Amino acid sequence: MADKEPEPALADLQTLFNQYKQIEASLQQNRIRLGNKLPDIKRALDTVQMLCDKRGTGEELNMNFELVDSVYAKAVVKDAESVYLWLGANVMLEYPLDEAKALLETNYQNCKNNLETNKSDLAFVKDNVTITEVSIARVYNWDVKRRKDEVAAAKAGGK
Amino acid sequence: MATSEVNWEDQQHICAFGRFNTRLHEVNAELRAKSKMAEDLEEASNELIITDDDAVQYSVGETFIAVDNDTAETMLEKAADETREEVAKLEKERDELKSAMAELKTKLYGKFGNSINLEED
Repeated sequence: MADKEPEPALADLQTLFNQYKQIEASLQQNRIRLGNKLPDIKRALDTVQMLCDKRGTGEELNMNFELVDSVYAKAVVKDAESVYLWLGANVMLEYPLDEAKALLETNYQNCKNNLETNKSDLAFVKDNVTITEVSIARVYNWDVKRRKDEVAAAKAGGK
Repeated sequence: MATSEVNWEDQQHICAFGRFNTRLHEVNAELRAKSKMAEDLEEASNELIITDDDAVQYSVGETFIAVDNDTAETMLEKAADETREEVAKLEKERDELKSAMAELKTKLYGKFGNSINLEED
């Protein structure tokens, strides 16, 4: 930025600022997506955990499960050995309970870790946004001061 | 207007303030959601005490499971404890953020006076 006129310097900073803002927005979107995924995984994990707890007890579970939106159907579950996990991309796979639990736990942890990484990335970008903002303000103020000094100098010279 | 030079230390303070502020908003949002959750659980416990039915439907994941009242009570208690713990943790973080921000505010206002604005719009 050294040896530049104020206007181009300001324009450069503005471009930089916009770029940082864009990165920030995409990271923020990512954060929201991860934040929504976390409770989803948690719900699945809770269900599998419950099935694990009931396994081998011979207890029957009377469940009401959501058939479609707002329509619930009854089911009796006894000694469930496996569950089907939705893997995405139209694929559903049968897992033994323990494996399903392990998989979901890994996913949960990964999702949490990603959120953490996203948080520190976001903090870094945010810092840069702030630095750029401050820089813009400083160049602007300096330019205003310089113009004032010039005017004052011209006046003094004219007299 | 006397403009003071912004040195690296001030810049870091400003950045930290911005970061804390963002986090504070997040914490507040989470806190609202969790407090509501805690209230709901509390309400559910109360309902459970007065209900005559002995087979309530407890929501697990996306399904409801018929459980007897005692089991439901323990499950509710466990959930309520977890939520309360989370709320306490968030409240602690919120207070820490607030005091850290107040400290930065006095520092920055002390140096820059009216040339800097750290208030929410």
